[in-house]
Amino acid sequence: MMSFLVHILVLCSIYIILAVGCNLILGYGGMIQMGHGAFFAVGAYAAAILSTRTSIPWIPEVLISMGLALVVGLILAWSMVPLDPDFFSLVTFGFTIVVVTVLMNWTSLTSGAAGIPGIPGIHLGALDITQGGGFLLLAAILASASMWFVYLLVRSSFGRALRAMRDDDIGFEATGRSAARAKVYAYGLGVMLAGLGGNLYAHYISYIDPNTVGVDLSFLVLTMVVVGGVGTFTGPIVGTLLLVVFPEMLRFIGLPASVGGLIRQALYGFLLVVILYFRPAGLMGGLDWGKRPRWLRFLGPRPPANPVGPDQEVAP
Amino acid sequence: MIPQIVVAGLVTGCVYALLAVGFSIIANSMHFFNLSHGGILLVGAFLTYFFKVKLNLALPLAILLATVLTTVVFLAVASAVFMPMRARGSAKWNVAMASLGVFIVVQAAVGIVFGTAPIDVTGGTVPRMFQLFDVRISSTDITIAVVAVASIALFSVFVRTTKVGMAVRAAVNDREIAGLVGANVARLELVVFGIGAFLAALAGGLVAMTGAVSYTMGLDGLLKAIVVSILGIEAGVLGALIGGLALGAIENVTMYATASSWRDGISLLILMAYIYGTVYVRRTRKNR
Repeated sequence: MMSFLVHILVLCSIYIILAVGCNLILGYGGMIQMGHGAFFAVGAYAAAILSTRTSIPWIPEVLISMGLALVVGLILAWSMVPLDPDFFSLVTFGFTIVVVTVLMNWTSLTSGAAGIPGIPGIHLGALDITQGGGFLLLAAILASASMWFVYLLVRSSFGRALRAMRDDDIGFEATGRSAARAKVYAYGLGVMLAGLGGNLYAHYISYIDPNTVGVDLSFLVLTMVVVGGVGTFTGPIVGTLLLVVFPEMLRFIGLPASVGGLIRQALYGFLLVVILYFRPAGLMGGLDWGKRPRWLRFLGPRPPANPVGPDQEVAP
Repeated sequence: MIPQIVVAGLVTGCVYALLAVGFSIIANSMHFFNLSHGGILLVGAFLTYFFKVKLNLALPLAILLATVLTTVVFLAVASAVFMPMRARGSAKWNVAMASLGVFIVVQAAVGIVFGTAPIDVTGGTVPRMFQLFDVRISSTDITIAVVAVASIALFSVFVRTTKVGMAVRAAVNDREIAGLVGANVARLELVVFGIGAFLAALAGGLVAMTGAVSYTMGLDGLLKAIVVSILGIEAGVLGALIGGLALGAIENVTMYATASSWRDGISLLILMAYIYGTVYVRRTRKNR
């Protein structure tokens, strides 16, 4: 029971890293991101290949995972600058499928559909953080760090510029800044977090194959952000907790294993429809920074409330 | 060998075109990407299987019943979810995301009811084969191609000649002006959605005819619908038909040359090449 709880919390931490990255792109950058799965794949396969074939320590390896996702993301985003928002989302979607296809077929590197088994756990110096509490601690620290990173980024001058660009890109460019640059950097940093999530996931599950990293994962992360609240700080976290914890509860009502995954899938699809219908700004939309309790004041001054829910035109 | 493969690809391409025509009229008139389009295909195919194999109906009747029933179901979904959201002025990506949710639910429901393994629909009957020069083509393939092309032609005639069709075109062209001159735009959109759903469900029935239905065909169908409708975006119904045929043929040839696992990657690469091509070519022209 205890180990199951730890397992759920580790998954939550990993998905939170993915969701806050997606929120940076979708919520603050206003770009429809259907390609998170591809960058998760980049991070996860970098981890799998490096740690099964070389004896590189974890810290440089995770930096390579994130750096690779960052570089690929910057290049992709830079190439997508002149596209209109519909085509932008279709290209990110297409990119995910192309990446999965390449992983399926580049068998000498990725061993194709069979996947890469036996990915070792994480060793930090003498510490062996493979399973259980140690891994949870690491994942939780990295999830908090990711949240903190996005929080600081959004409050920085770059974040203000990004949100201004999202709300009115022509007006933004009239102030003499480059909307393209803000978009490209936000996209790169968002998918860098996806690379980090992928790295942790590969080490934690110790097995990776092309089917776990594809379009379904992109959709799941997108759902987490949309359900929680696009462009809110707490939204992706709430969405992730809901979508990871709630389906796991279904295990306890004794469903046969064969339909368990499908019922979970049906549940998150249903949740997506219901939230978009009744609360288009997401669960935390409008609640995000309304009143901060005294004991949370240490977080610093309250960031400006987010006037743009997704029900206004995110992408013109 | 190559002509054989191209012909087989063209038959698949007819089904792609059917999907793409439905997808693009919904996208043009209701201004959102209907990501549940793959779900319509999936339900159409599995209901065809259900009527044919479980209830032992004749195949044409099974396809017709399945198509009509699927259309009714998705019209209900559209009037319960998509239309109210649009009436409230939801952003188009919110409606698209809701349709993605519908797709996920439908796919899971099909998996729960029918299982996730591919199911045989033919029941062991072998279709008659015809020989044309060095291409062998089965009676099933001929039926699929004829039905698909005929439905697209019928749709085209409907949109061009009837009064409802004219109203639909007017609403696609300018929603507000069409409303001003007395068209009930909301109802027209529902008509358009119904037509699109009918075509997609029919495509599902036709796919079921080829022999097997499987749980994963919904996402495949959605991909093809997106790719072909973008490829044919400038040339209307004929563009969708040509795009579908071309994609089917190209896919089959590349699958023959490499491996079947490249199929989805190839079609999405074509899509990305097209998008980048048009955007960058147009930009350089403008700059000149």
